[in-house]
Amino acid sequence: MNKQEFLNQLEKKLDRINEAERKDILMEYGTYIDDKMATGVSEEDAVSGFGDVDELAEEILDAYKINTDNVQTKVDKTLDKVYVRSESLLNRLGNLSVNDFFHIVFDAFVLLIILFIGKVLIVDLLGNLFISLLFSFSGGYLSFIENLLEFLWAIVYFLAGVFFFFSVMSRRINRYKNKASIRQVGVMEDIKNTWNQESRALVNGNDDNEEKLPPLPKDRAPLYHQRMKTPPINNEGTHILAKILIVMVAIPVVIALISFSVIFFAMIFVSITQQATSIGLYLIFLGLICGSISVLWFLVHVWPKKEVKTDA
Amino acid sequence: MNTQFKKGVLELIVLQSISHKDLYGYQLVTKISEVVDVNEGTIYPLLKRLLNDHLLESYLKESTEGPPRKYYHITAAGISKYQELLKEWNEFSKRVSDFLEEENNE
Repeated sequence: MNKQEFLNQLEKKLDRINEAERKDILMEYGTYIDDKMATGVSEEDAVSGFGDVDELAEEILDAYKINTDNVQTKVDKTLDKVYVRSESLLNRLGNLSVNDFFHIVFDAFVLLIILFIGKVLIVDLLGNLFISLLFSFSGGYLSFIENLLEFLWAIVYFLAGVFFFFSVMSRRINRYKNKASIRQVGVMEDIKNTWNQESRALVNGNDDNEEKLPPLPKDRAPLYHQRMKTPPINNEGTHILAKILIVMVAIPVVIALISFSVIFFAMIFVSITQQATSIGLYLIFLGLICGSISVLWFLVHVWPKKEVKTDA
Repeated sequence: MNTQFKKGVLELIVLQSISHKDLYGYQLVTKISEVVDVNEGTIYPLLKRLLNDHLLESYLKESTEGPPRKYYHITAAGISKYQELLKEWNEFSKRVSDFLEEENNE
């Protein structure tokens, strides 16, 4: 390898260094080779004295790190520090790692989305719809009371949502602290468990949800044929509050479903006897019917589980 | 000679070589190779590091033949660093040789 080849290779390897610096380095090595050749060493030998070009370039880049990678390494170091700090903080708070923390944040996010969907369904659609339906007969004289009722309904939902959020999250965090049980149990399961337990605790008036972790997967609901053998557990009256809530929500939905269906069929009747009108109206009412059916389906699923069993 | 060994003392040797007289790259390398067998390529990165730490400064000077050469000059900070390293080295080498002697005498 002659001098020019060596310098070309080196230049390519040093492309991360800015041009002025790079030229300076190449000039330095160039004059060095010239000096060496002036003492009688051949060009080849003068170049081979530097050894491997890759290693040389690496060493030069290493020396330049102070210039080229300055910001990058600083950012890396700060991130590392933040990570280590938060890891130790989480460790002190509970038996948690940063990874667990991100899982908890994700769970909280899922829970918030569910609560938001609940808010849209229960507060915006059902509450407001039902209340304004009721007050539509009053002819607008009682709009103040109407607004007040809607507001109270929203407040009740909000408070219940906050309470539910915190009880599910404390259960979740406890699970993450007891690392063993976390892998098999998802957020949805904990949400369901909390729903069942809280509604029971509210009725019984005692907080029995603090004493133990929710059942591990091995205690999961038995299979259908096992369930048939065991006599149904009698917990009459334990789910009353949940049931009352569901029924309260279900009544306006059923009313809405019936009225939508009546309107839908009335429209079909009208369009048969007279000229057909806009298809958009059919679609709107079809959508409203489907919507109320799916809300009902959701309510049936939320119905406290064990009660369903005893009913069956 | 062990490369890690070399790297540690190389800084001291460079500062020592340059402390009396400004030198350019090639002179510096030949001077250093009198003491330790070092890859010529590695001196430049070291010089760059010393420049960044403001222990050395460089200037260009016309030469009688060929392009101008880059000379290295030791700064005040470089001199105090040199004295510090020299002291460390003396203590270190004394302790090591004392230890080796003791062990041999036992």
